[in-house]
Amino acid sequence: MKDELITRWDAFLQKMAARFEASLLQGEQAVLDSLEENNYDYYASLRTLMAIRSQVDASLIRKINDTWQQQVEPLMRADGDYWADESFKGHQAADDMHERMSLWQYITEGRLAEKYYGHAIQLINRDFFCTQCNAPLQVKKDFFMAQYVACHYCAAVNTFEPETKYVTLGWNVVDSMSALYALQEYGEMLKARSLNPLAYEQAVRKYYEKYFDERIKLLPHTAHTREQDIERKIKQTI
Amino acid sequence: MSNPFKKISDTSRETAKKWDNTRTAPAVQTITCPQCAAPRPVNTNIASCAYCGFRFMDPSVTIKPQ
Amino acid sequence: MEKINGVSFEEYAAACGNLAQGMPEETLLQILGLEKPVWDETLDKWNVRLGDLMTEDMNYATKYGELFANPKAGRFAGNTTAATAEELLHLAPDFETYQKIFWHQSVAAEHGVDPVSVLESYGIDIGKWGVLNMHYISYQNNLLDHTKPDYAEKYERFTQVQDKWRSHFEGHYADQKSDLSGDINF
Repeated sequence: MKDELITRWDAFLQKMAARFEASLLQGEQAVLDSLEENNYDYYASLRTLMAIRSQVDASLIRKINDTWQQQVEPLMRADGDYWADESFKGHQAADDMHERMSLWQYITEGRLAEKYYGHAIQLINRDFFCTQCNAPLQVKKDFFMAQYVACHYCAAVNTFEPETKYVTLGWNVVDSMSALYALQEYGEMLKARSLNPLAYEQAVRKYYEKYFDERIKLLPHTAHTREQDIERKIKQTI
Repeated sequence: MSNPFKKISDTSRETAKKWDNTRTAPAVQTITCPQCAAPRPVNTNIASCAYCGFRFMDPSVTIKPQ
Repeated sequence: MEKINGVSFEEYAAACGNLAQGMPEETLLQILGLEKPVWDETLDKWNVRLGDLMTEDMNYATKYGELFANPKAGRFAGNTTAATAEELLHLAPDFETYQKIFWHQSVAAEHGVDPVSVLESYGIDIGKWGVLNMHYISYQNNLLDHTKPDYAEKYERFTQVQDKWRSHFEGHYADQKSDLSGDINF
């Protein structure tokens, strides 16, 4: 009885783990495909990502604990004392999936942001003209808010207001991309959680240095606040 | 094999709120002084008119586009 | 505290609250005496500064929330059409109704539905929801005061209300669920 129950439980956990991995791949694909389907509505795709996470949690991760409690545990308890180790297996599997899910979200948000960026960054690649004298205007690139643009011909100050899809780049999109590009340092930071506080702080610092260096490439005007930004994020994390 | 999450992305798209303040195209404009009709020249504090002193913005604001 | 482009911390929070309750941006710019590029910069800088303030002292999050929910500070006094909690309570007159709306938009979001659309079906926009949240979070904190003698009873009733509405809406959206493991059984 013991061997049979353990075999069944192991088989169940293996199938759930395989289905979980397959679901994460399908989830990422669904999120990336959604951008073309919704005409590059970043927030609709982000909501899709969050909902996929909820569904994977409900349909797969929670099912492991529910199955253990409702079906496996009663049978094993009635059979012997080995149920405790088997219970630990189930909790470990669920915990691993939670960690994996967090990382999946981090990466998928980054890939979604990158795809959105590729599309939306081009929206400004056209000519703009001074409304006083019609001369071409040099609009500052990689800047996602309204800006004043001085005309080089008549010296009048124009106001340039980008479209919402472009403005969206400056909100979460560049942040998620920066996070993705600092993925390695992120992984090191997670591993360092079990180390001494000083080693952890160093790993956190390395992560945020990378994160902001990537972010400055996307948002050049934030270069002058690099040090303050890094210190703020470290303080918030530790 | 169809993606089991397609219905989520369809739902998200179909239920997305249409916001009225969405700007669908970029806009360029030049503000001229309602008092003396002058444009605002570069290298001046555009919070007020360089010619007649009309206040475009709050007195505490100083913006000098280069 | 230092202002940014003439806008104080209180006005920044109130500006966000007013925008969330539907104040047109044009109106906001007139009240604060700013043009769009200056307002955009002001908002951006205040958002960063709020992060700094909250890192120093989490009370700033509460202060921001209160100012956001009652956005009459500074130059917004007498210049706002934003509603107060008292004026909005008819949309969620009791804790149970608030829980119903909360779980509706929460469970809806878990299935890909835009929660803003759900709130709209109750006549509530993002700003009004913020006001109602502030009101009922305070109600909830009082309700679940563990120093009171009837705490256990109140906690029990609170969990029942939550479970009731969560289950109700999970049923409502059941056909939107992604069945990822119906074929895998022990």
